[in-house]
Amino acid sequence: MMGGAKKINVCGDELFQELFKNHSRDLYKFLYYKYGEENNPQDLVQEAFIKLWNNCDKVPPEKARSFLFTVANNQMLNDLARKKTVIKYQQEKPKAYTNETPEFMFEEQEYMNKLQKAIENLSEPQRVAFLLNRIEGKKHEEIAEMLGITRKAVEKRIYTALAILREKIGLF
Amino acid sequence: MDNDLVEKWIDGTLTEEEKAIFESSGEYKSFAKLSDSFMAFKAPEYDVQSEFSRLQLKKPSRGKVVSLTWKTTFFKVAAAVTVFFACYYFFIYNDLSSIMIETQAGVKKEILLPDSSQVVLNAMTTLGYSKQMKERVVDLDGEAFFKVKKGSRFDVITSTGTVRVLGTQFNVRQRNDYFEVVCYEGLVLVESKGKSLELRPHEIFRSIKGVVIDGVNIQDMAPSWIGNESSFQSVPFSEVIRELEIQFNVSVAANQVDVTQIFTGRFSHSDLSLALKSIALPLNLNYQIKDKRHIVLSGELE
Repeated sequence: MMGGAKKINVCGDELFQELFKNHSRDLYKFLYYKYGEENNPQDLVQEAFIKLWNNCDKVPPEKARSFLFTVANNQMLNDLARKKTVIKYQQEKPKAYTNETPEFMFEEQEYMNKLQKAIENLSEPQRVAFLLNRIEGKKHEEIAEMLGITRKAVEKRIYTALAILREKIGLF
Repeated sequence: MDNDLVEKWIDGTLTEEEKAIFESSGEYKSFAKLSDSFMAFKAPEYDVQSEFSRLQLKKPSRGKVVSLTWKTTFFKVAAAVTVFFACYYFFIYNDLSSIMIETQAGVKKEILLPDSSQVVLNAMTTLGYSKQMKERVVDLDGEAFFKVKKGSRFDVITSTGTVRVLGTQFNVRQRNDYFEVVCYEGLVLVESKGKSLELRPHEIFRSIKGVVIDGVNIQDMAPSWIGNESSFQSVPFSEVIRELEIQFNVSVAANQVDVTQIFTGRFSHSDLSLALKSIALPLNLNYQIKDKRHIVLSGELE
């Protein structure tokens, strides 16, 4: 039947909620590693989904994810007053044990500072790809899809990032 | 340290065998430490549920929005169309786009119409025409002499009749129930009360109270009032009085005067008492200037 060719879009409330469930967290992570806490990644997620909602009749469900990532990325690019990206380590790391020596704690602190500096030295594409992989456990394939680049490019970014970290921290 | 192994470790594709080799290596500890340490940089947890609730508040509501959007579009178009037509009628048909020229008593005025036709307005006359004058139509109440530029149809509309010409010179006088058209050049078509008549140069169409009076001709090349003189040929005396009132801005009371009698003569616009003499003497009438604005004409000689 040719008559049933009604275009499927993401305007339905249920479908929209489903999309939010499936993609909002990844989008948030991506924006967080790319732009840092300072640039309100949570609000950027909201704005991206509102854009999707407003354009829902033009976006088929299978294109929704790339639409969201593209929009979120562009929003940020437009924002000239964007703050410098800083990915900070959590100061209050919950500890299960407290019998650490002051020296150990100091060394630990030193190490974290060093690591933060090293991460800051990565370029933005390297940092995003590397942290999504190392921290969020995203597979290369997934990252490639999120960033809209090839898998090979993702791998190159991750390995370059690793090489830089090895050099900076000097443990390798 | 073997880069291959590190990359495989990063990739999570180490075989059991390779894993054993990698973990037994001296640097494994620092890799493991690094790997753990990264976790401190982990993005804060994202609460999908509460973020979705937040989004629900922010995002524009839909549902009826679809029809509303349609209606809004409809009303936008409707409003635009309305404004367009309002403007169209405003500029094309509304009186505000037309020009009204009025002369007071005792004043004459010469004007040039947009189509280059010339009009001379006699006293107490109103002429109306549209700014663009796409159609050559003017409204006349009073008396005017037209020199119409040759071209398409030119209509003069008065309450008692229409004068239609192509390019010519003519005078139209319409005062209450008195309607007179004099052709000076070209050909004039007069339509009045269902009758139509073609006038050749020096022919006059005259109708008084709807009655057409035939057989009057003149020899002038232009109406005499243009030269500050009113001339009359077989005209009821009431018309002469009215013209006098208009030219001198006075009111005339006629006592024991037969105003229906036919008058032929003229008076000048330059001097009131001279003008009064001109019209009173031929009819054996007496006149009295009460004050500057009131005149009494009486039928009995002192």
